[in-house]
Amino acid sequence: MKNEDIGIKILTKMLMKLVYKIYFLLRKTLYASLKIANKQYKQLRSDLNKNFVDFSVRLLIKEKKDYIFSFFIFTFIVFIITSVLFVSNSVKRDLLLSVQNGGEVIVKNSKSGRYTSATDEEMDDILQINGVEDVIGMVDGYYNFTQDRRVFHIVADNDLNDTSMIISDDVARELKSFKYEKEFNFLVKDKAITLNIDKILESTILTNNTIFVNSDNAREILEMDEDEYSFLNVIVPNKDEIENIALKIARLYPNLIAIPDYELKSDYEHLYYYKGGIFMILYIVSLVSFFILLKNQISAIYGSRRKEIAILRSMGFSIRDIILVKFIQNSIVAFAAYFAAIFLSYLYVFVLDAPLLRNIFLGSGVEDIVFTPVVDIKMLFLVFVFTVVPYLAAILIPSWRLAIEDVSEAMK
Amino acid sequence: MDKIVIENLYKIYNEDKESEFTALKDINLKVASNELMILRGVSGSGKSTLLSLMAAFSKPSRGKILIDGENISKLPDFFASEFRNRDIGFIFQSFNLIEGLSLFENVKIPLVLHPYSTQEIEEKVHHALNLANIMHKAEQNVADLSGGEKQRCAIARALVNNPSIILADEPTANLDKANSLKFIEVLEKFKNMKKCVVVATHDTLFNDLSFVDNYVNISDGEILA
Repeated sequence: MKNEDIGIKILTKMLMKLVYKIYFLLRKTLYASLKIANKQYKQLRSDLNKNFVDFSVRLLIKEKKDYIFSFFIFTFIVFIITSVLFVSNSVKRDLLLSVQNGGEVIVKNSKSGRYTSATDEEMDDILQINGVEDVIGMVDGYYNFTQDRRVFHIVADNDLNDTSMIISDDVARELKSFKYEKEFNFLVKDKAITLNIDKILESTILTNNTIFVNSDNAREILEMDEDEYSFLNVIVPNKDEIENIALKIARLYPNLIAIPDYELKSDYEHLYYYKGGIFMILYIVSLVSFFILLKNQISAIYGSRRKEIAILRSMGFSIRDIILVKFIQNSIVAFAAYFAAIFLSYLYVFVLDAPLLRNIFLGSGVEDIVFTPVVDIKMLFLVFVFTVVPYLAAILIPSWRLAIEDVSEAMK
Repeated sequence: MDKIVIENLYKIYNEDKESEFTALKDINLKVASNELMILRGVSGSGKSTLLSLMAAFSKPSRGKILIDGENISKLPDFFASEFRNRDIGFIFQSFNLIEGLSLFENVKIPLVLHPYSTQEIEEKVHHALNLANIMHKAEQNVADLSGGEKQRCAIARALVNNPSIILADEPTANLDKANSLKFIEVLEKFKNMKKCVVVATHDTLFNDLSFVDNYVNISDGEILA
C-alpha cells in the first residue's frame, strides 16, 4: 500500500472517531439538558432517554438526503457570513492596534489641503500645551520603485542601524524578482542608498508593502530635512483632555490637523460599509439560501413526514415528543453545519488567506497578505442567534402544527 | 369486568356548519377485559371512527369512553398519548410502518419512550416478533416486505408494549385470502393471551368464528340491535 493511501486511511479513521466523539458528546449534553429542563415531565414518563435520542437520530439518518441538502446550504450561509466577519475583524484589529501603539492625538501638517511635513518648531510648541506629556515625531512615506511601478511604504525604526532594513514578505518577493536578494539600492537625488536586508516579516495588514529603515535613512529616502516629520504622536495621559488638546493644537496652528485616537478608532471600526455594495450582495445571497433551506425543510415536513408524525402519534408520542424529535434532528443538523462552517471559514481566512474575498476587502493590488487570526466570540454568538435560532423556529412551528392534527385524519 | 365502556357517544364533523356530518350517533357499548369483539359494517358506517375514538386518536363531540373506569375522551394530549402507548396496540388497514427503517426498528418505536436498556428492548422486540412469526425478517427494511409480512410487523408492533387492548381497523383489507386466514389465527392467539380485542371489518371471513365473543353491527353511525 502506498504511503498516501495509509495516510488517507489513518486520516479517515481519525475523522470518523472525531465525528463519533462529537455525536456522543452532543447526545450526552442534549440528554443532560433535557433532563434538567423536564424534571417535572420526567416524573410522569421517562421518555427523554437515550433510546429517544437514538431513535430521533435514526430517523434523521433515514432522511439523510433532505438533511444533507439542508446541512450544505446552512454551512454555506454561515461560511459566507463568518468569512466576511473574520476578514473584516482581522483587518480592523490590526488597524486598531496601530492606533493603540500611537499617541492619543495624531497631528499632521497641511498646506493647500494636502498633507506636508510637521517641523521641530510645531513639535516644541505643542509640547508646551498643558496636559501634553510628550510629542514623538514619526517619519514615514512612500518610495517609488520605478522598475516595477510599485510604491513601498517606508517606516522609520530607530532600533535599526544605518546599513540594514527589515522588509515584509511581499516586498522581499518583489525585490527578489529583480535579483535584489541580500541588499537593495534606494535611488535618491544624485545617489543610491544601499541597505542590507536584515529580516523578512510576514505580510500582515500592518506590514504589507512595508520597509523599515533607520530614521536617518528614512529621511534621506523620503527627502525630508532633519527637523521634519511625517506626523506627530502627541501623548496625553488624561483621556478627558484629548479632545481639548486637539482643539488647542488646531487653534495654535490652524494648518495642523489634530485627530484624536478615538476618532481614528471609530473610523476603523466603521471601515467597511456593511449596508451597501458587495456586502449587500452577500447578505442577499445568504438570505435567499436561507429561504431555500427553510422551504426545503418545511416542505419535507408537510410532505412525506406528515404521515410519519401521525404514525408516531398513534404509537404514543405526545405533541411535545414530536417537537422534541424534530428539535433533536434539526439541532444536530444546525449545530453540525454551524461548527463546520466556522471551522471552514477559519481555514479559508486564516490558513488560505481568503482568496477572492481578500480582493473585495483590500483591493486587487494586495497579494499574499496574512490575516491575523481574530475570533470574536460575541460575533459568532450573533451569527448563531440569527441563523440557528430562526432555522429551528421555522422547523418546529410546522412540526407542531402537524403534531396537533387529528391523528386519524393525518393517517389518511 | 368491563374494560371499555362507551356511553352516548357522538362524533360530528364540521359541527354547526353547512357541511356538518354525523359519523357516530348515540353509541353505547361495553367490551369485557378478555373479550374479542368484531365490529361489522360497510365502508363509511363509522367503524373506523369508533376505533379511533377508542384509541384516543381524536376526541368525541359528545359522550364518554371509559377505559378501566377512566374517561379518556377528555384527556389532555400528554395523558392521551401515554394511554395510547401503555394500553393500546393498534393494527391499521394500511399497516402504517415507517419505510426506511428495519422491521426491528419499526417494532421498537413504542418502546423508545421508556428508559429501557438495550437488552430489555431487544428482548421485548424479539418476543413480539416471535409472537407475530416474523423474527426471521427482523433486520429487513419494511419497504421490501410483502403485504402479509408488513401485517405481521404491524401485529408485532401492536404487541411489543404488552397492551391490554388491541384494536384492528380493517386488518385484512390489503391481504390475500391466505394471509387473511393467518391473521384470523393470530386473533385466536390474542384471545388466548386474554387481551381485549376489537376488530372493525367488513370482511366476511370473520363471520361465524367460534372464538369470537361478540359481533356488533354498525350502520350509518349507529349500532344495530
